[in-house]
Amino acid sequence: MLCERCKKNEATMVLTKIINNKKTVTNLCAECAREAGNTMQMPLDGLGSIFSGLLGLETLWKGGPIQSIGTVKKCPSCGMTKEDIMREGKLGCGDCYITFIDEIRPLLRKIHGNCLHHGSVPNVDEPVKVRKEAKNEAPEKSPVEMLQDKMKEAIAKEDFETAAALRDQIKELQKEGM
Amino acid sequence: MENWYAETGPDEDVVISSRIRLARNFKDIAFPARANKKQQDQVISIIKEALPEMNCYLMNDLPNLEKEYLIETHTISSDLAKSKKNSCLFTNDERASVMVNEEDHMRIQSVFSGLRLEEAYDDCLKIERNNKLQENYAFTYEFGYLTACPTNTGTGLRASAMVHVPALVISGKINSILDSCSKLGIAVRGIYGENSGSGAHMIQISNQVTLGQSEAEIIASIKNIIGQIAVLERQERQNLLEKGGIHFTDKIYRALGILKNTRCIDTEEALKLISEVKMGLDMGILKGATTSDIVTILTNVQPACLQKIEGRILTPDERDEARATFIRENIAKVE
Ligand SMILES: [Zn+2]
Ligand SMILES: [Zn+2]
Repeated sequence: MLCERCKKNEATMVLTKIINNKKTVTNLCAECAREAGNTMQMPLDGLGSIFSGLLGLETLWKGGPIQSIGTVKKCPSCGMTKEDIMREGKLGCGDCYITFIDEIRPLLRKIHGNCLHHGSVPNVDEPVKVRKEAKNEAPEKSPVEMLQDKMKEAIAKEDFETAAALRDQIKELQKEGM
Repeated sequence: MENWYAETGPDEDVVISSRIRLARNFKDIAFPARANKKQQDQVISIIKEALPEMNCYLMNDLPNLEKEYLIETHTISSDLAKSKKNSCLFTNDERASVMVNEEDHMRIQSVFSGLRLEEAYDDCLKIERNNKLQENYAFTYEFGYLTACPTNTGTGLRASAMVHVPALVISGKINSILDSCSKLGIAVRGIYGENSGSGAHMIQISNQVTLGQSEAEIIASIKNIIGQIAVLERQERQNLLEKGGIHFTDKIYRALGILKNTRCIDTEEALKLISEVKMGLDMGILKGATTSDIVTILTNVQPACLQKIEGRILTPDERDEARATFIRENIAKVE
């Protein structure tokens, strides 16, 4: 769907305005959503709410004739919103993990005690790796190093799209201190 | 499919079976709950192409009795059976099977008798490491394998064991064990029957954490807990025998007596009595049957299994009678 404001970019956000209990919904691209300004952060208190299935928006609106504007992010691949995820306790597709990364990290930390994968990796000879770890040896390469190898491979194959995606993943990991 | 319960395994006096389940999804395809028909078909065709040696059974095409049977033998989940979507089971003569389009695109699983989690894991890997499948997995280095429910993210690994703990249940000591399990992030639930499964004195123990630990670490910690529970259960069985003396032995012989003479019996009572006879056999009080014989009976007294053996749909009354006959015939050799 195209952005209803600029009619140029793909709409990835849903702008919800509540004025005097009247709700209007507009589909916007990220840029226009930002410009719409006055962005209200959704009351995402902790992540427990993902399972309690309660998401603040509606209740907040019942509070009276408060003028509030909220922007709701939407997964570009499957269309899930944060609201949908909260209600269902489930994600819609792999891309939801990236779209809602800021919410997913604390959620995973709450469920699992941390949020960084430490297990097997596709296309890496896993049984070997598992046995190594059982003997308390570190895997030969860090995830960043493995990604860097893959990026070099992609560049060699002139697959720059993949290379760029890998570069972003590496940046994410380095931010996390890997 | 090979029947896990027809074989012997380590620690089988306490650990009935070990199960590994790996959740995997494909990138660029919405998870099943969110997927349209075309995407679900796409999932099935990726798997068909990667695993040509496996047969695909669509849940919509299977008769209800067959589905119930697969649920009772823990081959599929009731969610898969109920699903109106393009859900199916991939299976062949090998042990491991794949539930497709359940909560995740793939749920690879394998069950072994006794305490054999590593073997079950290696068995799942035979499917999981398939090159064509690996190319398609939804995976990031930060979060690992991406799953529909965040409780499975990371390794997507659920390691579980079905544990037979009659002595710990009878003495009430099971409660403090369940308590410490929950503190350690280990999930415990009853099986064989909805209400706590206490009838057959069975509990299922599994990991809750799937992210941040390696597969080896998860399996080792579950194995460790189960090993400890097995030790406590054996101690408690000896305790009961020493304290209870003739009364304890009497309880076991009475259970055997009923099973050898019953003419009609419901599932719950059957499971409870078979559980007591199993304990008697494991402790050497009774003789004449192996653990796998008893686990086979335990499995087959369930309604759908029983009807499959009889080869027809039975009314509840007919089932109780057929169950009694089946038990009498199969328990006759126990003394
Ligand atoms: Zn726009
Ligand atoms: Zn999505």
